[in-house]
Amino acid sequence: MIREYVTPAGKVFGVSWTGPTIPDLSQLLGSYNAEYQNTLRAKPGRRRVAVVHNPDLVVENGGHMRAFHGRAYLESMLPAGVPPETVK
Amino acid sequence: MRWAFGRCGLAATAVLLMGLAACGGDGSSSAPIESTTPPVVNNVQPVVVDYGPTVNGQQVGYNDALYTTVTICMPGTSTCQSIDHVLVDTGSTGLRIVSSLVTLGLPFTTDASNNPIGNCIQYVDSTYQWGPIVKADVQMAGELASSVPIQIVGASNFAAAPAACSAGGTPAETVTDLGAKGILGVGNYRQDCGPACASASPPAIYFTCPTAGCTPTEVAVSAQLQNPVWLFPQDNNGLSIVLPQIGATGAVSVSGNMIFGIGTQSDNALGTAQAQALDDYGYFTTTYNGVAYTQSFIDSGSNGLFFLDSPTTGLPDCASNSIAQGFYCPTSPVNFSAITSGPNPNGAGAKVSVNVAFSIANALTLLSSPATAFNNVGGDMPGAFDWGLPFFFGRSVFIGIEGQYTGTAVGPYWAF
Repeated sequence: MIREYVTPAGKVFGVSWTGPTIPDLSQLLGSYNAEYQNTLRAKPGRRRVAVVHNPDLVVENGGHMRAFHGRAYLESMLPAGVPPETVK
Repeated sequence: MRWAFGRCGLAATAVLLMGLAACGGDGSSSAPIESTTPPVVNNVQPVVVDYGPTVNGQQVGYNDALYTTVTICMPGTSTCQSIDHVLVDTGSTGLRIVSSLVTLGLPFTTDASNNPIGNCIQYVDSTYQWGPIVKADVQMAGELASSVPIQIVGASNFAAAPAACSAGGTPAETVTDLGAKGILGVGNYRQDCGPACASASPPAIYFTCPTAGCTPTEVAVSAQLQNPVWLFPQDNNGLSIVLPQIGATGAVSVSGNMIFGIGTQSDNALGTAQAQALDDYGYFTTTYNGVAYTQSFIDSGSNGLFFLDSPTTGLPDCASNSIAQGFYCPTSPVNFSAITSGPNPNGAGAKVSVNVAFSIANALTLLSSPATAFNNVGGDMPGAFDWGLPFFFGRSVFIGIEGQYTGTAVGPYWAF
């Protein structure tokens, strides 16, 4: 299941996902996927979590085989008064 | 769920571009009726945490990676090969071996139309492994699982990864990519996917691969990747991983054991370990600071204790672009206490809770040292707990396999 979070002006400022497989993040993140992937490349080791907290882009992808979940949002596009925890 | 501005009902295949327009679019090991006694076989398989496999003179492992040596054979024969430095992973299911290491001509498995079957596993860090399913006998210690479906990772004599597997990801299909020669998935499940992949609308995990190209297909549960432990003739209800405790500055190598079966021999009783059942997704609950985090799991294939985030724990994240990015870097070690819990797997359903004390030290300091095994490296996993390999030191951790009984307790459960 994929959810998107939208500003009153109709822009997506966040997405979240749960399911048995990981969604295609190149589609979900659009032009931000390259920044996400490049940040992950710098990390050593094998993990069941991928967390990118850049100045604007936040991506959190977790879970394990059969059960994945994650979210992404842009700090700069969060509507006034909407905390990041809204994207869940 | 809280919704700021409503939602769009979108299928998983919908294209969403962030920042652009929205919505465009068996159970009787101790039963008295047992008339025959299972043979006592060697059920103790050595495991090690070390610098990993060697490629071109360089050791390519990473911190807190647990390895073992697996022997695979042509089915029904004594034509075998042993492969060292296979990652022991309780967070996945099935044996996967990097293709360049496989010298045996293991037979492809095929569907009803005689087309070979491919398997895709995706990881949260956007890496994936793709390759054909073949059958092999799998030997560890004195145990033998016959004709087990396993994956050959990155096989050159097989179709390329279909877009549904590779899109948005990066292949991790070499020994250097993996820091291992393969992955031994010995988690709480019998198969990597289960009934979902045997249904009429399966996820993009199994593919049928005629020459025209690979497309997702349903695969019978018995033909999916299998946890080899549950296919052993005995000692097949689960396993335990037993590692010694190590010091706060880590160790350059650690030797321990993976013991097959739970309560089946004199060396694998649960003893005082507290068994906690898992939910349908393999999760249990970890309570920290009065808050219950229901998406918690135990995973020897995670190379740290990944839990919550910096604001919640008060632990500073390590500097970006340091070798410790993604880990926590407190100036001095910080002690934590949490409670794991789940229903008693004996069916009575009473809640079982266990306190866990742990410490988190500066990962940049630790990872810059000569040591490679640490019980006190941690990092972010917002809203959840991933009890990775550091948790296993100084404990016997039991993995009860789904549908398999330990006395009256039925898996999936874990215990420590």
